[in-house]
Formats: sequence, structure tokens, C-alpha cells
Amino acid sequence: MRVERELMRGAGPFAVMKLLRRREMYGYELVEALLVQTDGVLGMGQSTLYPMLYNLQANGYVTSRWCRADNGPERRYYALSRRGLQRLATETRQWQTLVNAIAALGVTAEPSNAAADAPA
Amino acid sequence: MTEKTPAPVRQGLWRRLFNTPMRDLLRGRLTGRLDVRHCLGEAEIPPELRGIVLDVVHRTRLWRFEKADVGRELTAHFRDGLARGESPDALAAAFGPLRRSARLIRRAKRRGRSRAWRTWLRAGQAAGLVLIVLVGIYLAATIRLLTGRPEIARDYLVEINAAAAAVPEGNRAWDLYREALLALGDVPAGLTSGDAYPGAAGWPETTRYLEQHGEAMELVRRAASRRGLGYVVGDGIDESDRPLWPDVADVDWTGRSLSDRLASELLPYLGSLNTLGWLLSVDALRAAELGDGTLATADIEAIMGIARHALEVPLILNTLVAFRQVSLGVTTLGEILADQPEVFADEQLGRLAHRLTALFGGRLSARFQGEQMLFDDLVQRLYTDDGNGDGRLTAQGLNSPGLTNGTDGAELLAPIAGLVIAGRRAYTDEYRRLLAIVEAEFARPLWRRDPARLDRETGAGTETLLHRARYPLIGRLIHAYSRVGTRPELVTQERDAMCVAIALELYRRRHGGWPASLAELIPDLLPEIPPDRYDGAPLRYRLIEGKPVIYSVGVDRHDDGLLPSDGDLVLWPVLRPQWGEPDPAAISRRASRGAGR
Repeated sequence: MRVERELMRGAGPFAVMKLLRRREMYGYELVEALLVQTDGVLGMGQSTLYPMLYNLQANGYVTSRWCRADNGPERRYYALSRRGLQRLATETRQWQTLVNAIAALGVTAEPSNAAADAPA
Repeated sequence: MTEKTPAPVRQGLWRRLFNTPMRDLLRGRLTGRLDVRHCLGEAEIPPELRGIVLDVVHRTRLWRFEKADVGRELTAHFRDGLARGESPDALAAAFGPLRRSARLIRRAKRRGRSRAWRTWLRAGQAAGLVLIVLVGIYLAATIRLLTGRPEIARDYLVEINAAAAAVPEGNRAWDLYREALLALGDVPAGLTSGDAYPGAAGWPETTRYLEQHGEAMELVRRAASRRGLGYVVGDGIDESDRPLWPDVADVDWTGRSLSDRLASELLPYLGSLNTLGWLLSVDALRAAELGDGTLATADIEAIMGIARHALEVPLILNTLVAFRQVSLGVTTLGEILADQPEVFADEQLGRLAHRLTALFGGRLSARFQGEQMLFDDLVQRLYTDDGNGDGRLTAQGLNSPGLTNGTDGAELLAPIAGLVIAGRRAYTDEYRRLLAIVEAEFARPLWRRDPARLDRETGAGTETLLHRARYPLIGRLIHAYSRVGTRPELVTQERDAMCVAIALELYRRRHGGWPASLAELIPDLLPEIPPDRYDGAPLRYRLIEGKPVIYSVGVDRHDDGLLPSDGDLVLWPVLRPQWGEPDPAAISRRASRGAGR
């Protein structure tokens, strides 16, 4: 399902930092993970991902390094910094608060409820 | 999908060198890794994807190493995608809008640059903004300056020459002076330098010269007795006067300010009057030597007449020339009175005393009426006139001949001057305020003056830079006026002392000896003892070896009883004026440079 850009605006960086919390990843890997693990909702192209990564790096939330795998191509790997961890924790709390607030309005994760909110 | 399909680029030596980071070069490695096109060529990705990378990298307009970094990363991404089995078309389609991508990448990369760079960027932006604002202000000021036009409402030249122009044509003293000057020809230099007196070297030649030019001298006396001089200033040299001053250049005065027209070099007639005064002085000494009191009296009265004529134009320079003539007449009279008093009859002495007392209405004072007109003329040529006494500076006014005097960059600075310099009303008010302070100070007798007070009230030497910038010229004008300060008082003192000397001589004739004090002269010969201009007390008087001396306490205001080097100022018997003193006559003498008339 296509989500409005305004709703997506804060989710993208949060999702990327969430993925990087587990381990360092390279760009294509991040694109794949976002596509698969969010069922396409947070899927994004290079034109969105790389500017996002550069912004996160400029803010000091992620670090990067070039690395050449054994007999493989070189890739730039991104990892969450300590500052990024703190930021992630903060945003996680904020998202949880937001989700709880929305849930309190009767919005749950079940798809059938979407039909109940559809216009008559 | 971009249509760019970059061809592979061979990297020659110079290209590789140009595209190698300094860090690699210092390590002795010629990597050429900043060459995005070359790196793309070796990337083993399809041309269409290479084109996307190149296009995006080019659009970012980042620094070279940043471009290389982005190009490398995008290439790696495409390579990973191809390795996972995605088609080039799918990868290209999934990339997203190129322009937006380039814009976002550029923004993000710039955000990641060093703080120093960002500070420098902000400073540059701020400086750019300030520059734009300043340029805007400068342009607005330029327009404001260029669109103003001064309005010449009053002809101050006519006003300055009002008294001269009112003298009936057949009764102008100047016509006779001119005739006399032409007849006198080249006046020997010694006659106008204070070196000609009985007993001096060259005195026989001097007397011969004066005898030969007796008729010319009589013309001078007749001229000096006329009521008005009738010499109109500021309009160039009349053709009838040209033979007197052949070296004074012809100038086109159209559009020139009054100050330019009346610059001291352009008032040669004052030099000529000064010359005539000296001739009269020397002739009076000659007449006294011959025992001719009538001629000596006539000569001294003529000197006073010249002083009166010099004052016909109300400029400070004219006033100073007039005072110089008064001083010269007083000195001449004093010399004769000291050495050959019997030359003068009682009646002649009385007449001279009366002439001295009545000179200029009894009070010798500096007048700035003419200078005010010069200032007002300057203002009306510089500023517009809004009809309410205010106005703004004009380019036309600033470009007036003589104002900028070809100063380098004056035109470029004119708009700034227009913003900084005060408006017409404020400028005029400031001038009037300071002039009033100077005039009030000069209205006080010398013993009540305080130079420190004048400086304090006018702010002389303590004006802020902004004040000087807002009111240019005024400070210098006021300073010039204030330098006139003591001259009228000192000439008044000389005049007063001479009146006392005349009274003493008359007393001696009546009583056969000198009085013990000046009080004995009152009331028959003097209404009162004139004040010492330095302390306000009566002038001092002593008998030194039986001879009378009139003196002032001088600058130190302490009566030292005429001890040697004591600071007291001997007023009579007088000494000839020393040419080392600041002397306005020297100024007017320069005005007749080369003419010697």
C-alpha cells in the first residue's frame, strides 16, 4: 500500500537506523531489507536511500567505511554510531508513544479495521 | 533512464595526475581515483547505468573527491543489484528521479562538510548579503544625489559688492588710486618693507623717488579722502586695471563659487592699497624730516582713508588689511611723535587723535559678514532647496570646480558623501551655531577672553569622526575665523596708546613737562585712560630717564615694570612692525605678485 509522503518522512531514517542496529550493512542490502521486511511499505530507491544515509552521517548517527570482501567488490558499509543508538532509542520511544496513541483511537494492526474506517 | 552512455575514457599521465588526491601523491601513488568517468569505465556495469551515475554525479556539483565518492558508491550499488540478478532496466527504474536525487545528495554531502567550511560559507553568504545591501544603498544614494539640482537663489556677489557698487562713478577713490599706481610705476622694494626711514641706507634715493612722484602721491591723498573706494570684487580683472597686474590670469568664473572668486590671490587690489599705505608712511617720515607737519598729517590721514576703503568689502582679509593700515598709520605717527613732535601743530595732533578715535565708528572689530555670505553661497551651490530651509546634497554641487580639486575617487565617493554629510538645514545651523560662539567670544575684550573656552564650546580638536564627516569644512572655517581673534584688540590697543601719546605731548606743551601719571590727562586731554587690553586695568605709564613710556602688561598679565625680558609690551615709543609676524599685508602683497604696485 502506498503511504503518504508526509507519513513516510520520519519513518525512513528510523527504519534505516533500526536495521543498522543489528549489524552494519551496505546500500543495496538496506534497500532489499527495507523492501522485504516492511512488505514494500518502506521500500525506497537509491535516490532516496543514499541522501538519507548521507544526512544520517552528517548528523553523526551513522559511520561508514569502504570494505572489499574476499575476492569481491568493494562496498561502503554503514553502522550505527553511539550517538545514533541514543537517537534510535529516543525515536523508538516516540514511535511507541505515537502507536499507542493511535491504537487508543481504535486503530489496530488488523486490516479489517481499515474497512470500518472507510467512508460510507 | 538517462540517455547518456559515456564512452570509456583513457587516462593519460596528465589526466591521472590531475585526478590524483594530494594525499596519494605525497605517498608516491598516482591513483587518478578522482576521475569518475575513468572509474566508471572500469566498473563493468552497463553503459545505461554508467550514464545514470555520471549524470547524477555531475548534477551534484560537489567537490571532486565527493563526486568520486558518490560515483563509487552508486556504482557499487548497481553492481550489487546486477549480481543479485536484477536487470539494468529494473535497476534504472528503481533508482528514482535523477535531478531530485542529485539535489538531495548535494544537500546531504554539504551538510556533512567540516564546521570550518560551513562557517566560511555562512560568513560568505552574510558578506554577500551585506554587499548586496550596501550596493543597494549606494545605488539609491547615487540616484538621490543625481536627481537633485541646486538652486542659486541669491547673488551674494552683488551683496558683497553693494557698498562698492553704490559709490557714484565719478567719485570712486579707486580710479584715482589706479592713476597714481600707474604713475608710480615699479615701486622700489625697500619702500614697502619697513626698511625706508630717515638715516637708513638708501634714504636719499627714497626721498628722491617720492619727490619725483609728488603728483602721484597727491593723487593718493585725494583718493584716500574720498568716501568710497568703488572697487567691485569677484568678477575678474577689469581691463582698465589689467596694466597694474599683468600676471593675474584671466579665468572663466561661470558657475564658480564665491569662495573661488574671492580667493586671496584674486584680490590684488588689496596688495596695491597696502603698497600705497607704505608709500604714505615713508612720505610722512620724509615730511617730518622736512618739518612739514601739514604733509605728514595728510599722509597719516590718507593711511586711515586707505584702511577705511579696504573695509568696503566685508571680508576678513579686507578687515585684516584695514587693521594693518591702521597699525601702520599709528606706528608712523608714533615714530614722528617720539622723534620730532614739534613737526605737528596742536591742531594737527588734535585732528589726528579725533581721526583715530572715530575710526570705524570707534570700535575695531572683526566682521564675518562676508564670510557668512561665502558660506551661504557655497550652501546654495551644494544643496537643493525645499523651500523650508532644508535640502539634500547634489552631484552638481559636489562637482563644482574647485570643490573636489580633482581628488582621485571623488566621484565614486560622492553618493556616500550624500548620505553622510548633513542636510542643508543641519549644516547651516551648525555653522551659525559655531560662528555665534566665535562672535560672542570676539565681542568680549581681550582681558575677558578664554581661548580654552572657545575651543571647548566649539569642540575644536575634540569633534568625533562622525561629526567631522557630517559637517566638513565647517571646522576648518571656524578655526580660520578664530585665528583672527586678537588682532582687532591689539590694533585697538595701539590706537588707544597713540591717543594717550598725543595727549601726553599736548600736556607737555602746556605744562613744560611730562605728567607724573596718566590721571593728570583727564578730563582736559583724555575722557578716560584707555584700558590695557590684556588685563582691563588702565594702560601703564612710566617715565624712563625722563622720557615717557606707555606700555601694556602683555600676555602674562603681570606688570613687571618694564624690566628687561619681562613680557611687558611697549606701546609708545613704537617700533616698526616686524615682518616676521603673521601679517595679512604679506598676503595681499602676494596678490600683486610681480606688479610691485
